[in-house]
Amino acid sequence: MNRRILALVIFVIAACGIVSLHPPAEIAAIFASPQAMPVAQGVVEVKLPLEQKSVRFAVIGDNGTGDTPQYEVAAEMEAYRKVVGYDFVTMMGDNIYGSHKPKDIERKFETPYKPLLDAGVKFYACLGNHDDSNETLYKLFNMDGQHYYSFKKGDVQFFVLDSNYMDSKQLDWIQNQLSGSTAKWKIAYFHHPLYSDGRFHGPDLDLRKQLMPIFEKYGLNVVLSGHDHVYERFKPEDGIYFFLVGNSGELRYHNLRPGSNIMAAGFDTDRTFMLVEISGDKLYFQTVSRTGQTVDSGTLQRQPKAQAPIQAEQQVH
Amino acid sequence: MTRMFTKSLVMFRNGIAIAAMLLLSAVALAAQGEKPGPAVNQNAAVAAEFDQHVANYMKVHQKALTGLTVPKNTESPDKIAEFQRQLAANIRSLRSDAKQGDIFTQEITALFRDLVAMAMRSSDGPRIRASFEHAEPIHGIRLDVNQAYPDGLPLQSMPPSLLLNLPRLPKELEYRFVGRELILRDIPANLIVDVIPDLTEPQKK
Repeated sequence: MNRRILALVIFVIAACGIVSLHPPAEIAAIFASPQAMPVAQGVVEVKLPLEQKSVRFAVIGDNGTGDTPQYEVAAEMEAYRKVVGYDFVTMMGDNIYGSHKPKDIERKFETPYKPLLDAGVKFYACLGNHDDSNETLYKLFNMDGQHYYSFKKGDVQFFVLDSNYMDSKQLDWIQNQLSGSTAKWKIAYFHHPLYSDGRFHGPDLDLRKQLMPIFEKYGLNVVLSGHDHVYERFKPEDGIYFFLVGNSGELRYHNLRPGSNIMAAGFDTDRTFMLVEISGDKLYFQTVSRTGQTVDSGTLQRQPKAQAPIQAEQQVH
Repeated sequence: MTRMFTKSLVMFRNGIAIAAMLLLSAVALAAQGEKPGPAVNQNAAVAAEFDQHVANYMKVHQKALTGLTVPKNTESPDKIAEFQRQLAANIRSLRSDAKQGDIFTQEITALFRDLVAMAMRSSDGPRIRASFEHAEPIHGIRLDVNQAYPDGLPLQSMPPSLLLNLPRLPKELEYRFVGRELILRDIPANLIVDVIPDLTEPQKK
């Protein structure tokens, strides 16, 4: 009898410990089956203008956990796709965490994004430090066997880099690509952020030293990254707009450094994905949480060459 | 005009690694009070030897690919996994007697130690150290030649300023740090080709 009471007390203490240490999403991840397809929770409230012939896409990063929160973000993405009509997704790396066996690809990518894949949405991946290099061969990541590559959508050219291994060949490649690009909008994305207020990783200063002179010289407009498991938008740096989306599956709760003077907006209490619409000289963005709340949104003006003023709302969550 | 400038920059960057080696030799020789010629040639000879070892390995890699089809743009993760497994098995079979130091010989290891130390002492040193510390460094794992890089273990990113100091590799090979070890990894086969233990200084705790 005493043993039963003791066991019950231990169970209650353990349960309280889990509850106090983890926010609700983590508890869901522990107890729920990751294969269960969640339904979008929030009301779809689109803040993009949805102009005709605009380029529309979603941004996710550090997503491939296979856990419930990733599935919940994916459900919101599908709910928003039905209204926004974006037809591709850019992936900031750490597409698949942990083991890379075929079953993992299914559980951490194919199943959560099945509704998007079924609707014809294309995913364009870059490699994170948790990714297997042979992901480049996987058709649904659209990397065509390359560690770094470029693709165009309307007026926008995307330059997808492998920031795990920025050797001289890749630096030459990005320089040649940017110098030869006539695209109106030039967007680069890769895993490791050049700017970050994440306390766990922070910015990669060595990478910044190599890339920023090239980006500035050839008029890059936007840089997207992941790696730190938070969302952050930055004030323009040297005339370039920077976003960090590293919490579409993983999350480092309350990890943003307070009092930053480079942050325009930040969110580190839940997972997010970002929606982008580019039309003419304007880039519209909307960042949506796992529960469907809009946590950041705004409009950016294409930089003529020098730095343009940011017109987005200033928010910190 | 822009293209010419870009080409010049490319040529300039290609020369950085060679220039670093030459500079290293010159500094070492100046310290010894010798004429720079022979030792510069000595380092160049070691670098050339490394290139030759890499070229020889690539012949093995190509041979191991015989009969295999690279599953480029496949929707089947099974096909990718099977290709990687088969390629690694073929390479292991062709290099069954391979051991640590076959490619990173004593002389080549000494050259790499000098190149890494020089990068660390340079003005890039603090950024390289910070990059290591921010790159989820991997500790407590020793990898051996012909071993697969463990499934699920993250790959530590390489600081670009350090990479620029090391000899170039064909696209199938890469350098990676695992803790303080530098490994030479066959990317498509996910196989350890050779290892230099304790290449970097211990991290401060």
